[in-house]
Amino acid sequence: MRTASGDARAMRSVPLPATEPVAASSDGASAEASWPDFEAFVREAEPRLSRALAAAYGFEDGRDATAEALAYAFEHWARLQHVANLPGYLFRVGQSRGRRRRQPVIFAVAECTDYAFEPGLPQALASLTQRQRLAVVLVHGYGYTLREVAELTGIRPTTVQNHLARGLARLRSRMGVTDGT
Amino acid sequence: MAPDLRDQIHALMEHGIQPVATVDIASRQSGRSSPFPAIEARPGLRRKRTVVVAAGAAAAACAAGLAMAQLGGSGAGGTRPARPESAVLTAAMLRHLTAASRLALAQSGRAVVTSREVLGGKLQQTGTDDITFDGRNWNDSFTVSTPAAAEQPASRESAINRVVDGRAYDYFVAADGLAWYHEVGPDAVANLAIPDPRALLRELAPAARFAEGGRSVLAGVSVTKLTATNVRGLPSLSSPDIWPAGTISALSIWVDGHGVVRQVTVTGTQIDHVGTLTSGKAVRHQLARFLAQVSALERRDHLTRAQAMERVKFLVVGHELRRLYIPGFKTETDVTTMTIRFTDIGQPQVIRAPADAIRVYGRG
Repeated sequence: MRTASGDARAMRSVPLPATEPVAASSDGASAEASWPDFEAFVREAEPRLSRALAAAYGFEDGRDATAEALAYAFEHWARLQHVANLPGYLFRVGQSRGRRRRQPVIFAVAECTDYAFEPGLPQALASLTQRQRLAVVLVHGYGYTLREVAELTGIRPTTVQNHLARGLARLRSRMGVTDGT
Repeated sequence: MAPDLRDQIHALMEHGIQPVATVDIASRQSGRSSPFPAIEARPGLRRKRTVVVAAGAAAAACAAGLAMAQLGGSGAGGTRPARPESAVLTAAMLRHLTAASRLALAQSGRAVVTSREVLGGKLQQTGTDDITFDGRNWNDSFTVSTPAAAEQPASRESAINRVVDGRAYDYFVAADGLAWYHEVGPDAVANLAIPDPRALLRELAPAARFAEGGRSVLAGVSVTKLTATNVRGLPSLSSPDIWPAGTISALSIWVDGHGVVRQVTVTGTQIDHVGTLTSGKAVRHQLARFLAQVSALERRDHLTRAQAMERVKFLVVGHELRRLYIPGFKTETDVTTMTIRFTDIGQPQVIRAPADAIRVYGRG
C-alpha cells in the first residue's frame, strides 16, 4: 500500500518521530523445541547417511547428497521428525539428489604415505554396482547388520545378503585377495 | 597396510568421508520453497537464532571461500579444491552465496532500499525505505520525494508502517492528524505491504551468469561485486510493489568475505505509453476496467463499494497508474534503479508497538 515505490492516501511531509527508531538489542526469543531435536537427529543419523551415500556415490557426491538430504530434513523438520524410519527416508532423498549427477563414482583419496588400504581398493570399489557397494561397505566395512542396511536402503535383508556376497566376490577378484573376510 | 579387506574398506571410507555439519546443511537451503518466510516466523529457528546465524556465517565463509577460489581470489575456508578458474560463478557457487545470505538474514536485520525513477530522462521520484525486521515484526520507515513539475510543486512524504505481533500500525497524516494508527481488520497487515528485500535473493538465478566486477568497500566491509552478464536469464520479478517494474536491465550484487550479499542494485526498464484521458473511448475503457476491479474486490473480499473503490485507488497508484493513460500518444522509457543495502545482519531488532496508537478499522 505505501512503499517508496508507490505512495497511497494523502500524506504530507511528516516529521518522523525521533523516539521511534528501531534499535538493536538482544531480546528473549520464544522457545521452540525443534531445532535442538534436529541437531540431535543429525548427530545420530549423519554418520549412517554419510557412509551409505558415500558408498553409493563416492566421497564428494555422497557428501553433497547427505547434505542435501539433511537440508531437506531441516526444511521439513516439523513434518518429518515423526517419520518412523527417517534415516531410510532421507537416504532415498539423498539418492534422488545423487541420481541427478550421473557421474562416475569416485573414491578419491588425498595423497598420503601411510595408506591403510590397498591403493587399488578405491577403483575396485567403484567397479561394483551401487547396491553391491552399499552392502560391502556398510556390512563388511562398518559391521552393520543386514537388517540395518535393509532399513536404511529400503532393500530386503536377503537381497542385501545377495549383493554382499556378489560384491565381495567381485572385489576380491579385482584385488586378488583370497582371505576369507 | 591392513591385510584384512574388512579393515581396508573401513579405513578407506573413514579416510575419505568428511562429516556433514549443520553449516553444510544450512547452506543447502537455496531453491527450496519459502525456507525463510517473510512475515511468518520459521518454527524452530527463533530460539536458536544465534546458533543459526553463526551457522550461516560459517556456511557463508565456506561459500565465499569457494566463490573466491573460483574467481581467482584469496578467499579462505573452502574444503573442496578450487574448480577451474573462471570469471563466471557456477550455479553451485551462486546457490551457496544466496543460501548463506538468506540464512544470515533469516531472522533479523536491516535493509535500506533507495530507489530512483526516471521517465523520459526526467526524474520522477526518489524513495527510501528503511526496513528493519525481527521474526514476525517489521518496521518500514519510508520517504517518497517528487521533484517539482509543471503542474505541481515538489513534495516529500514520509510515513512508517509497522507490524508487531501480527498487528498493523502506521504513522502518517490522516483525518485525525499526524499520529500512530493501529489498523484493524482482516487485511490490515497485508495492506501495509511492507516489502521484504530478502525476496530478491531468491531471484538470483544462475542463468544470469554472474561475473566478478571488482572489489570495493561498503561501510567498512570489503566486498566483491558480481554482475549479471545475462539479465535475460533472470526470472521476471513478480513484485512490482517492491522491485522496479518492467524488464530487468541490470543487476549487481556485492558480497562480503563471508559470502553474504551486502548490497543489491537492480535496474528495471519499461516503455510507458504517456497521454491524457481525453479520448471518450479510452476513458470509458479505463473506467470499465476500474469498475471491474472494484467489483472483483467486492466479491472476493466482501467489501462495500466504497471500500473496494478505495482499495482500487491504492492498487492503481505507482506503476499501475500509468496504465490509466491512453496508449499510443507517446512512448517514454521509464528507468527505475533500486539499491538495497543490508546491514545489522542477524542482529536482533527491537520493534515495539507504538503507545497510544489510534485504533481504526479499514483505513488500510
